[in-house]
Order: sequence, then structure tokens, then C-alpha cells
Amino acid sequence: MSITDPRYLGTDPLTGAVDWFYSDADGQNFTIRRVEDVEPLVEFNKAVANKDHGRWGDGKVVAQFPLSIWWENQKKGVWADQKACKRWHNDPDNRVFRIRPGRV
Amino acid sequence: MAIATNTFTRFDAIGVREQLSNVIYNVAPTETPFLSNAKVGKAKNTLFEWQEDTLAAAVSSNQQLEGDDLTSYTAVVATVRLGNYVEIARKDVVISETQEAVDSAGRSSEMGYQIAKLGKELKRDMETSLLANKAAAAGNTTTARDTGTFCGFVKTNIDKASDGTAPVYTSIPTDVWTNGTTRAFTETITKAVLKLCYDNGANVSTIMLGSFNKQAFSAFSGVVELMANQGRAQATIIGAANTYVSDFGTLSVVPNRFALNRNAYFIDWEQVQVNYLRPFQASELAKTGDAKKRLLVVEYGLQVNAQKGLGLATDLTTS
Repeated sequence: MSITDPRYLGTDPLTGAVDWFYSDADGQNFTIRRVEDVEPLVEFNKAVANKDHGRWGDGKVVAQFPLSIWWENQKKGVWADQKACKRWHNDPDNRVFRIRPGRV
Repeated sequence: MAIATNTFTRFDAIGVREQLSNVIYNVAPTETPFLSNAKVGKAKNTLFEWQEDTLAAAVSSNQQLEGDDLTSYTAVVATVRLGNYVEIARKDVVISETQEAVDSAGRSSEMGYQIAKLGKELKRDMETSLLANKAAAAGNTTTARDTGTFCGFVKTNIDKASDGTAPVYTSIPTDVWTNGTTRAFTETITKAVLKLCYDNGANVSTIMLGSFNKQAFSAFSGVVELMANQGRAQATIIGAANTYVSDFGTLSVVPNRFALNRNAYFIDWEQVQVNYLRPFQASELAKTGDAKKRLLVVEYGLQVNAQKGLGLATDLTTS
């Protein structure tokens, strides 16, 4: 099965994410590919994380991440489980999405 | 560093009902976070109903004598019967036979592309409808049926302007909000709704905001401090999700450009379900000329299992 050249399907103006459409030659199967550049967000997070945030406490925003990551974790049930949610935020792999240091 | 987030999913088939629904669900799910995250159910009629039950209020005076006999019994409180209507949404497309016949080497099928595009548009219409301020209506031969919406159901955990009025209903949300004078979205409003939600047993995990109030949220949460000099990043930041650590747990704050800007939606995902009488269907229409016609239809309605599990801050500034 050969995949066709991509066709532009749309841009989400809020996130800048672009959707591309591919199909096989007979048009019976298709694929949507979403591409989102998160570099500006990561750079911004770094800048905010390096600021002095003062005292820790409730009512603080601790992370900022692309909607696609929110969606993936929502589907996995991470946000609905407070323990899993904290684990995700405290995972060093997700440090680029933290805007306030310290354990959640 | 550039991280490209690619959702690369392959689906099979155009025209098979269940598969088509899956395809359409998965086209750009983050653009319609409410519809994409609500539970999915079935409606068996144009009016579907469910029961809502509540526990009696907790009291501190439940201390009884040893060996006491019961001479009277507490009457059972009947459950509340709630209902909503399904509404029909559709999109259509006509593709000339010539367009479909053109050598498609390296190019995708026009019809497949159009179905994907229409599916995306249809979902945006559904998202807008489910979050709008509109009343449920049975419809008739000249007026289309309307499904009651999130705003129409929520009447307990609310924060509104003093001159705004919450909808009044007992079983089907046939009333709408009367808008009050707008005021700025603040952390105080957020905390007030979260407290009401907590006191009434809600387990809110997401706050959904229109773009303007997502920006307002960034301001009161302190994220905005560096925004002024970030240029290109600003739009990305408004479009990002945040984690907000509240007094009642860790919440996600999510932008939704199809939500009403004057509202902030506080959601416990266990309480919202979209019921389908007819899931997404692409039907081929009768040929009347040298073209192929398709109709993409969905018939759906919103079920709110317990409106006390949700919250709404309304009459918020929109610009």
C-alpha cells in the first residue's frame, strides 16, 4: 500500500498545531498527522522556572504543557488519579513542562 | 530544542458506521476537548432519561439509645428523573466524478479528504453546541430539536454576577442563563466555585476556559509575568494546558476556543456523557448528475449524571 503526499487539513489557531491528511492510493484508508512545535513553550517554561517563586502553597500553577500531552494523559487516566498525576509532574523526564520547581 | 508532537494514527475505512465514528473522534481531538473527553453512551429515543439520586445531608445528631425500638420510619426520597433531547447535526459534500477520476498518483482521495475535513467541522459544531447557553427543546415539524447543554444543567455550584440568573428546571433543562453584567475572572471566583464543588461532592479535575479567560488565568496565577517579552510564545502559552494546585487537589486548566468566553467550566468527567442515537454516519446520496454526494450526520445529546458534580463561573469579561 502506498501512502499519498500529505494534504493540509487545517491549523488550530490556539495551539498552532497543523493537521496533515494522508491516504492510501485507493482512498479507503487514511491517516491524520498532527504536528505541533513546542519549542517556544519549553523556552518560556525554562525562563519562568528559573525565577524566584517565593513560598510554595496551594493555588499555584506548577506546569505548562501542550494540549496533546494533556490529552494523552487524560486518556490514560493520569489526571484523574492524584498519585499518578503527582508522579507525572515529579518525573525528571517532564521537567521541561514544569514552571515551578519542587515536588508536587 | 524542538520537540515535534505527532499523533500518527491509522484508521481503516470510510462508510462503516462504527469505524467512521472512531475515525472522526480521533481527528484533532484536542480541538474539541469537551466532546473528546466526555463519556460515550447510547440514546434509544429522541428523548432519553436517567435518574439522579442524592444522599441525605450529614448530621451530628445521629446518636441512638441502646435497645431502642423503631416506631416510625423515614420515608424514602424518590430519585429525580432527568432527561434531554438529541439533536441532529450534519455536513454535506458533492465531488464531481471528474475530480474523483483524475489520476490520483501521489494524491489522496478527494472524498476521503472531504470526509475527514467535514468530520472535523462537525465536531467543532457539536463542541460549540454542547457548551452554549441554549435550552433543550423537543422540536416539531418546523423547528429542529435542541439538546440541553452544560450551562443549562448546572445550577448549584455557580458563581455569577448579582444581576445574572441561573436556569430553572426540574427534569429537562428547558431554561437558559440570563446573562448578568460581566466582571473580571479572578482566582477568588475560581476558589469559590471549587469550594462549592468540593462541598457538594464533586471531583473536579479540569477547568475549561475560552481564550480570553485562559489569558486572564495566566495573569492571576503569576504565569503572565514574563509573557510581555515572549513574542511568539504568547499564543502558544494561551493554547497550552496548565496544572493548577488548588486547595482541593491538582487540576488541569485547558483552553477551548469553542467554549463561551463568558464562562469557566469546572468538570468532573464522570458526570458528563454524550449519548448517540445515531453515531457519525456517512451516507451516499442518490445520484442526480455527474457527481458523488455524501451526507455526514450525527444525532446526539448531553447527559449530565449529577449536575452537582460540575461547576460554572459565568458573566466573565470576554474582551
